[in-house]
Amino acid sequence: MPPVTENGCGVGEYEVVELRAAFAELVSLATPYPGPGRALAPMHAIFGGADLTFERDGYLALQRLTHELADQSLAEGGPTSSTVQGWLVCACRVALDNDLDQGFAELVRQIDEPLRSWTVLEHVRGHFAQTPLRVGRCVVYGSLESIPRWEPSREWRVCLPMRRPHPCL
Amino acid sequence: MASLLTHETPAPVLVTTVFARDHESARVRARDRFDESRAILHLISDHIDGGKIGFSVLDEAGDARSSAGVEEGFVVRRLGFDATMTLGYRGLEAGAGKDSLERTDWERRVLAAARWLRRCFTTDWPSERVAAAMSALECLFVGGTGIRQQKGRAIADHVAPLVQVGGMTQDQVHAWIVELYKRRNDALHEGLWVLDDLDAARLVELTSSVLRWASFHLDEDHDHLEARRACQTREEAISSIPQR
Repeated sequence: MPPVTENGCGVGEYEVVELRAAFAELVSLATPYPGPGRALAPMHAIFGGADLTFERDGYLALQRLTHELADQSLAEGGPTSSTVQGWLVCACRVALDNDLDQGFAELVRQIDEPLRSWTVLEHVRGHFAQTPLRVGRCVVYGSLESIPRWEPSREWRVCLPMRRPHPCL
Repeated sequence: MASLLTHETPAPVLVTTVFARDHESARVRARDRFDESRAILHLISDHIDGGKIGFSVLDEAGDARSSAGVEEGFVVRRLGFDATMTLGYRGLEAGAGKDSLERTDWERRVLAAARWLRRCFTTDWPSERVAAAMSALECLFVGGTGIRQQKGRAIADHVAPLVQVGGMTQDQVHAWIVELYKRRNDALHEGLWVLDDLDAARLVELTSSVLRWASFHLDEDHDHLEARRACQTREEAISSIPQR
């Protein structure tokens, strides 16, 4: 199935109809989590937060739709399979709690979210004669505090310079 | 040196900005950029520390020799006066700053080779080191469809006149590379071990030298081409190698 979004991917009437039908099928195959008293089919996925389970045909439908809507991370910037699966499960929950139209609208809203800008940081160990130092598409800064327009939260301060204990094999 | 790399001082950070639909895709895209930048830092660093898993060894008397696992660390002292890359790496850095589809043939090859070379330093397994080093050399020297069956020889043809290996003549270097490429094939295709860790280490040293040569040909003012510009293609760069 071609992409369905409006954000540069185009949205043909046919694709929307096709997506809606696939989504309707997925909703019809979603069931509440039966609890630990019943064994689930070997192929299943449980989403505790949404209280939904997909088994057998439901699991295959979820896989198929996820695969069709997900996109490559490196080439296209996603969305990743896990994100798409989250959208689908959330939209199924909305559809079951309200109606199919609202669930589908929620799904399309998520698909139509544009690409966003992300600043990604990684701790690099070493001594640099001078910073900031541009290296390809990254910049080495001497510390978190020296990144322009960046006010590191307490969590960042804790996470980045973290030294982890090393388990032994 | 170890004290230089500990973090009593504020920890440096590598920062990039990417466009993505979700944080997982952002992480994948950023990882790609981080790995390219780290490959360049690896080449320009005076000293590379760590990047390996820690270990403990007990001798018969029960005395322990151990090494804590440490992350990869760099010491980068040689920068231009304006805090740009030093000569020999400016073109490589500029190439890494471009979108991957905008890179020239030689920029693409050298960056990929640098990433493979960095892999050599993250493992002690000779098979993996030889495979990664040979991948780096393939990126640089293997081109065209007719050469696919003779890759080891093609690499050796270009590398033997380019670098000197202590205790070997040029012909011996050539034969050694051809033989190592066969062992690389055995390791990758049949799971056979490359047992000679000294050979693997020597190949990694050789590959590092070759990478510096390759990066030099990306600098605009390198003196190989009359036009004084960066080499754009593999063919341009290897035209500087003397014939055997």
